[in-house]
Amino acid sequence: MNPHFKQNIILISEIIVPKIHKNDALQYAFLKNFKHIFQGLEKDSSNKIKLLVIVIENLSFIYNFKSFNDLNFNERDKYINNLFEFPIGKIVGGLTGLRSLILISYYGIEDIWPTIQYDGPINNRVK
Amino acid sequence: MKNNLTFDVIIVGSGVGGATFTDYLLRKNPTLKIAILESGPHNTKENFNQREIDMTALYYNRGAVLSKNLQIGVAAGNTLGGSSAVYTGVSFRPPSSVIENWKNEFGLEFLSDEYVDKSLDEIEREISVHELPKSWDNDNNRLFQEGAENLGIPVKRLKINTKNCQQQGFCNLGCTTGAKQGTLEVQIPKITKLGVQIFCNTKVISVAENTINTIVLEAPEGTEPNTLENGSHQFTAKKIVLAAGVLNTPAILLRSAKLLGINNKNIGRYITLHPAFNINGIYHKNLSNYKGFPKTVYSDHFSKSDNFYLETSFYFPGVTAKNISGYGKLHQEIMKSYNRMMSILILTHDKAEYHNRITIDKKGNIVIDYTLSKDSKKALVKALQEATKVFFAAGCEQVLVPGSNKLPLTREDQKSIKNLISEKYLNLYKTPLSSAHPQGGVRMGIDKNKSVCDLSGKVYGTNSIYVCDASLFPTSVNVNPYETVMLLAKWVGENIMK
Repeated sequence: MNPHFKQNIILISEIIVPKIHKNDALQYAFLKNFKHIFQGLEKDSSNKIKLLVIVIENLSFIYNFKSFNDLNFNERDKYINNLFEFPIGKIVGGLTGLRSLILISYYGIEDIWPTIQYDGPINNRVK
Repeated sequence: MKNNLTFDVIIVGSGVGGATFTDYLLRKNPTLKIAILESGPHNTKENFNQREIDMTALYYNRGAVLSKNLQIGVAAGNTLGGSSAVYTGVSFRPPSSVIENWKNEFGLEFLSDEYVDKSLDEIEREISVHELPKSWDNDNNRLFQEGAENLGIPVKRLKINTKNCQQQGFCNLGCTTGAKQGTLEVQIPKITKLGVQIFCNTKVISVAENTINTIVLEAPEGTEPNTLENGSHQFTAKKIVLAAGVLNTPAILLRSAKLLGINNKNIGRYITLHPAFNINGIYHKNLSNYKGFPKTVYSDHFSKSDNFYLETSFYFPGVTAKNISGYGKLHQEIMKSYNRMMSILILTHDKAEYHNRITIDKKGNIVIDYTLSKDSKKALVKALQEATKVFFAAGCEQVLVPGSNKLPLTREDQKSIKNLISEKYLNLYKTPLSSAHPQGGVRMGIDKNKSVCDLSGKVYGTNSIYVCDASLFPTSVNVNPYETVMLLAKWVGENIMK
């Protein structure tokens, strides 16, 4: 995962799980999980995710007349909302798939578990 | 290419099809030299750490195998033991109506009542299939029964294949105690003691008559080391048995069609996926449904009239979050109620249709070309409506379902369920539709123009290639499929050397 891709993943993920917005520790833990899954994907799948992120970046110029990186949080939120209603189903389907990966990565963070009252693995409960 | 790995029989896949086949083959032919090639790594129960992120490694493509149209995700195990390492152990016999159809329409006459009953009695005894006691019902299972009973929906108890289960509740992340009687605990220890060699991380590229071309991949960190060097290997055998699952078995045959000299238009066709939604309601107090055995009851009340089953289920935070529609602040607020969530699994019966298939792309990668039919959509919507009623009847304050224009639904919405949950709101690109029971693609049947394998499991037009997994199913079995896979694997295993 190169730094540019990582940054874009964070920018998208902040809309899906806003708690990571401006929270360096959570972003670090989130990215660790995301990377763990992403690197285990078959090349074909990880390439499709990379392509989707490029599409999201480029469509921003058409939707927002500025680059994805330059959008503030509210603009990004509105833009991602629009993409979930995009007329091309495969863009929506791809985004929904990415959303799943983001949610699994976020709720895999051990520090998040107490906020949803999840005790985690049996070994955690014995401690 | 490293050659000269020669056996009498080689089986591709160590899941319920491959391991059961091997078990029955050895009972009649104990002196055969046998190998199993498994594409996944050799994980033992000590590797299962009950953490969602780590345990995605037990699934193909980390559990993220999507259909070509991106409308349904398919989960399949990719580890020693195959999907039996990650299933919950829900044990159904094939419905008699399905078996009758397979006999009448596809000529599977060997599935006589006597053979089916005797075989499954034996299989169930050996893998410890039994009903779990009512005292094991956690809140989710108890509330499902209460809700259904309040609505007059009959509920039945599920049968499960476990022994000395500690009710840890992490079945889908691998059983840490070995209680689940999948192939990892039952058949694999037995057959390896009898001399069967298992080669893990061994991906089958193609097969030809008596030949298998493979690549041995590096063993992932923390798993058992390979016994073969990494790289290309060729195996030879008198008979080759494909039990690589519905995603892989058709793909191997499609990649091998030229080598085998076969041109059967039915390879990969007629797959069914048993499309599923896992949905949640929010109860007024804490439930801790992730603790205890996740599934003890179900209802087949709507099976004949509306083509779906309702089963209990419960998942871990990541998968639960994925199953709840939406995102952002509202989604995070909803997830704060994780510990108050009740959960129901909807399983719809889909028909075997020619256009639904496993195919391969130019590089030979698997492509799931599947479109949900109008009938299946109708069944899903009806199931979402009925499950919503069960949640409210059980006492839930809110219900979270896809196919609704409102998230969450509240008790005030109960009178408008039909209007609020309807097909016009079911956008399949945005909903977490999933499948854990793919079936078909290499149909068994008496007519070689309508199927791929004959009644012995041999691929038409070949001399040495057989199949014994769920891809043999001519149609969907409509229930959790592993017992039916074992039934067919037993048949192929008993008869292959005749």
